[in-house]
Amino acid sequence: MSSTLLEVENLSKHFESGGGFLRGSTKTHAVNDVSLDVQEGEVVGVVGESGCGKSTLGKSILRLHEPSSGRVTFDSKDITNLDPKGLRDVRKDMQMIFQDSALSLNPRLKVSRIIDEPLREHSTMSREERRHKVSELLEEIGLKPEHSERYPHEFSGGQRQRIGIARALTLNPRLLIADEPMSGVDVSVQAQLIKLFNELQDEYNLTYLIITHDMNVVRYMTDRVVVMYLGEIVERGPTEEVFRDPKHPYTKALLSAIPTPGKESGDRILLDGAVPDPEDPPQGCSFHTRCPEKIGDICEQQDPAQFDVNGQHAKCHLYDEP
Amino acid sequence: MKTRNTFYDVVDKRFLLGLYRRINSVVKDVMRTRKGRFGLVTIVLVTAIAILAPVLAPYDPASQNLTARLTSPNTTYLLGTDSYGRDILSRIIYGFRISLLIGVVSVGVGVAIGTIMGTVSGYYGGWVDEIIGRLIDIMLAFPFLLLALIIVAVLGPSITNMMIAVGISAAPQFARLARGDALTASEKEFVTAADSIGRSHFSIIVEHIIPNIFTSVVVMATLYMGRAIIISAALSFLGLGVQPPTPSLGLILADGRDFIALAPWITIAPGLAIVLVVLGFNLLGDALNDALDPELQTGDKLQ
Repeated sequence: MSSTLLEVENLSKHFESGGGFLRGSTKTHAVNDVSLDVQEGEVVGVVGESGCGKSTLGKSILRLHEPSSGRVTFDSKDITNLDPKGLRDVRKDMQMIFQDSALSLNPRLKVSRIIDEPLREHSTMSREERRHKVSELLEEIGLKPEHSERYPHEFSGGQRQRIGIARALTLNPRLLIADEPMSGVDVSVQAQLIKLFNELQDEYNLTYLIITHDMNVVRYMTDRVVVMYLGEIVERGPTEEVFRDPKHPYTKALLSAIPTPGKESGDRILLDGAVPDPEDPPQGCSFHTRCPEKIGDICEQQDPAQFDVNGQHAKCHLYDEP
Repeated sequence: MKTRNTFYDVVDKRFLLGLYRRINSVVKDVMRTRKGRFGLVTIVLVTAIAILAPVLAPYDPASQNLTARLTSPNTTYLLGTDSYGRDILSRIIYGFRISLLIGVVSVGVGVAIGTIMGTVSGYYGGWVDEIIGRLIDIMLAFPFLLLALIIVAVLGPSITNMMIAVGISAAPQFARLARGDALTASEKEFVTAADSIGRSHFSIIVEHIIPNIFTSVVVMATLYMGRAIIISAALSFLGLGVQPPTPSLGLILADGRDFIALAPWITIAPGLAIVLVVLGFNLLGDALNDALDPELQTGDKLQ
C-alpha cells in the first residue's frame, strides 16, 4: 500500500524582470498552475524541452525558489509556508541532485568536505563517525575511500555526478529530486548512472522525481511521467501508457523524435516554429501556435482543461467531446 | 547536540597537520616559479632584517654625527649619511620594520573591512547591495591618497592613525573585488545545493563564499602591501604619518629630497629599498595567485 509522499497543487512561479524606475516589469510565467503527486517508492519523470519550466518546478518544490502561488505538501505536511527552521528539517528528507556537477560542487572543497556537509549541518555524529560515513558513501556510489582527499576537478563528469548523489544520500532522504542528472555525461555513463539510481532506490527505499529532457531516461527509469510545455503540464499518465499511446499532440511529437533503428526519419512529427516567448504566451491553448492537430478557433481562444482519457490526462481540446 | 565548529574541531591535531601540509604545498608551488622564488625570498629576507634590526644595524638610526654630515658611501658608513650625519644603512634597516608594520596592519584593516562589506553586499544583493554598493562608489570616487589624507587629517597625525586611514582607504578596493567574486560565487549552483541542504546564510558565506573569494583577496592584499607602503611614505613625506626621527623608508626618502643633487645616495638607497619590498610583494602575490587555485595545480584526472 503506497501513500502520497509529495503533492503539488496548482503551483505557479512567476519571475519579474526588467522592472525599474518609471518602467513596468514583465512577468514570466515559468511554472503555471502545475499539479502533480508522487507516491512513496515511485519514480516520476518530468519531461519537456529546455525552458519549459521543469527545473524551476523542481526548485520551487524544494522552495529554493519561493512559489508565487499554489501548495506543496510533503508527507502530509504543508511546506509552502514553513518557517526557515521547519524548512530546514523538511529538507533533510528532500534532497536535490543538480544538473551540472561542475557547478554544484564547490571547487575549493575536498570531496570529503562536500559529502560531509549535510552531516555537519544536521547530524550529531563525531568527526570520526562522519569520516566513516563518508567512506561508506563513497564506496556505495562506486568510488574509493581515498578519493575523499581530492578536489572535484580531479574527477570525470560521471564521477562528479556520483559525488553529487552521495551528498544527496548522506541524510537518508525519502525523496530525491534529480534535475537533469544525466545531461552532462555521455551515453555509456548514463547507463551506469541509471543502474546506480535503481540500486540506490532499492537499498534506501527512495522516491525519485526525475527532471529530464531525455525520453529514453524517462522510459527506462520512471513509473509515471509528466509532460511540460511552456510552464504547464500538457499530459500525464503511467509511463508505459504514455509511450504506447500518447494523447497530446506535443507528447506525440516528443516521442516521434526518439531515434529508433529501422524507423524512417520521415515518420517524425516536425513542429513548426520555436517555443513562444514565455513572457508573452499565446492566447488560448499555449501549444496552438505549433500544434499539427489544431482543430479550430477554440484552440486560439480557450485554454483547454485537463481531460481524463483512460487514466491519462491530456490538456487538449481534442478530448473535449464527451 | 551539534559537534560542528567546536573548539576541539579547531585545535584538533589532524586539523593543524592538514593546515601545515596545505601551507607546505602552497610554499612548494610558489617556489616552483622564478617570480615566486624571488618574491618569497625577498619578503622572508626583508622580514628577517626587520625583526633582527637591532642586531644588524651598525649604528643607532637616530644618533647624529654632525662631523660626518652628507658623507658619501664609504667603509665606515656603507650607504653614506644624511644631513644630520645619521647612518643611512641603519635607518633603512629600521625603516623596513616600520614600513612592513604599516603595510601589514593597514592592509589587514582594509581586507577586514572591505571583505566583510563586499561579501555581504554581493551575497545578499537587493537593497543591501544598493546601499553598500553606493557607499563603495562614494569611497572609490576619492583617489586613494586623498582619502587617506582626509581621514588622517581628521584623526590627527600618528602612525596608528595613518595605518587606520590607509586601511580604510584601501577597503573600497577590497570591497569591490570581494563583492564581484561573492556575487559570482553566490550564483553558482553549489550555493543552491548548500541552501537545499538547509545551511544558514552565515554558514554558506563562511564555507562556500569566502573560500572562493579568498584567493583574489590574498593576491590583492599582497599587491596592496606595496601600495600601502608607498602611500604611507607619501603621507610621512607630507608630515602626516611617521614622525621624525622614527625612520620609515618614505621619511628617509623625503629627508634626502633637498640634497638630491649634493648627496643622491640618501634618496637612492631608500628608493631602491621601497622598490625591492614592493616588487617582492607583487611577485609573491602573483605566484600565490597561481598556487592557491586548485584547478591550476598539477594533478592528473582520474580515469
